[in-house]
Amino acid sequence: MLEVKNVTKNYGGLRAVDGVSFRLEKGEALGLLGPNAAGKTTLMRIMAGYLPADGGSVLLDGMDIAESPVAVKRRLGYLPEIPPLYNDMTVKSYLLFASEIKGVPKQSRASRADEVMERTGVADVAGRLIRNISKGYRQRVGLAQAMIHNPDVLILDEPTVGLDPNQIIEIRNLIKELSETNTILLSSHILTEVSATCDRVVILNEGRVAAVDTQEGLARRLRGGDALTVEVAGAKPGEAAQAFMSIDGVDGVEPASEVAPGSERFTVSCRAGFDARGSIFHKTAASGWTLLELSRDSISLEDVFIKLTADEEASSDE
Amino acid sequence: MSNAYYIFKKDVKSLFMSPLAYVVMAVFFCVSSFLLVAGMEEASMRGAFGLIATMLIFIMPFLTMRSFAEEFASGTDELLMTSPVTSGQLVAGKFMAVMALAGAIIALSGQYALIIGIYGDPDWGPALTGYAGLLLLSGALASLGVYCSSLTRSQPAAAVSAFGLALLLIVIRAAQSAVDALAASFTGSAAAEAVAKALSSVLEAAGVLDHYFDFEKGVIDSTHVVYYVAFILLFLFFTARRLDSKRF
Repeated sequence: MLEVKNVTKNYGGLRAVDGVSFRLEKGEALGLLGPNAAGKTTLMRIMAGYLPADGGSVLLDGMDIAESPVAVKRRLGYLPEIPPLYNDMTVKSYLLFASEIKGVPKQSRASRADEVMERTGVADVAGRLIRNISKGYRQRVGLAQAMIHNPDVLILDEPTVGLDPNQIIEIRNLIKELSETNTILLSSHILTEVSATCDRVVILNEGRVAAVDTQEGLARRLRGGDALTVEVAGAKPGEAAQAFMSIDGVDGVEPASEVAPGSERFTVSCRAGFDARGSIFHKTAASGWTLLELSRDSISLEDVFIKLTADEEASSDE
Repeated sequence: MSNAYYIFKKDVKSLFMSPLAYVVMAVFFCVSSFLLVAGMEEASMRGAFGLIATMLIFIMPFLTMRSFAEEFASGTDELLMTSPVTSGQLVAGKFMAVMALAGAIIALSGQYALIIGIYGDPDWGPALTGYAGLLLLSGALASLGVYCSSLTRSQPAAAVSAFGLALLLIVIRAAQSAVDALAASFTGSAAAEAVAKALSSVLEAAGVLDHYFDFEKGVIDSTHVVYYVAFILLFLFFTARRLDSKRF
């Protein structure tokens, strides 16, 4: 539905976005993930038509935003990092203004404003001046503005930044709800945010796409197989590691963090498709050691993220 | 064009809701009334028009400084520029909003005509053309100010640059004698002389206040009207280009 093709943007000598391409399919929620200064905001501004790209193009159903900005913008809703609010307007008059310039037909403006206020939970502050409402409300009014013209695609730049935990949960639930009817692109540097709301993830680092996949896919790709944490007591130094290494399907045994004297702790990595837990249990039992812990680590988006961005740094340092 | 109207409506509301508009109006009427009464010699609008024109040069930068600079500073330009609104509609709406306020001030200065009309017998022809001239002059100052406001996110910087540019455009004729002297020294080269002469005539015609004086004399000269309309359109075009250079 929305296609980003080889988009590049320079700020002076700095390349903020460097040949980024990905597709946003109809109906999906895509997370744009990256550390601060990865180029997320710049990329979203380009996609929303706020900034021109230096190279490449953004296409909505094949329509180039640079060539027909008005037609494309009519179908996009955009929430910038700082909600674009007028402090001297009331919430309702602000949303009515937004509905005017976003091309909502005159007869449905008031009902649209009421509807989005209801959905974003700001109806109770409809008559208050925006300067007097809390940060959580400001963020939600910003989201209401992005939704007012019922756009096909919602572009949300860090929608939960600066909110308290309860507000974060509310906004996430709202985004989840929206993702059932709309196509959503959401940026964040918080990993749990993306894992809570998105189907697929684009990881952006230093202006480049480091990976595009589903969360499970990313984890699988990186890990290959499972990683096990094993703690044993009663083995001579080095003995246990050697014993685990000899198990079929085990790729490597790494000593893990320090533990109490007399016991050892390892991270055992297995090849894809092998589950070495049973063998480890039998091996320790047969050797007369005591198995204190045996658990399978599920690789988190966090690990994927750190690994991918660290790899990028390592390769760019070379 | 309805998009321009929505922008206009929003800006007018915000202008009239801010204390700035009322402070500017208060200053405008205090100073101009004082000067008018203190310097009045006859029951005619001539003196009043000169005063209002001078005061406009001082107050217009304060009416235009917010126009775009405030949107940039508060991030609300991200709403305007990602909405299906063209740069031209945006600029037109903003310009018209400033003109609504300037027009209100000029209309309120009609009280001077009323008072002079009650106590004397002024010539009404020049009074009408004088108001037409004031509107065109304020339009030129407004377009210049809106342009300056589109260059920065700092309102003071927008006001100072608009005021400075307006002053420069008022005194620009002063450079003419220097250019003429230069032209006289180019006896050898016909081309250089022609360039200097052309520059001299441009300087003669460029003064933003020079085109105003005929209006208060009761003369509507199409040259002056064309000058102001072209001036306004040029700076509004510059502003739209400025916005386009920031986005699509």
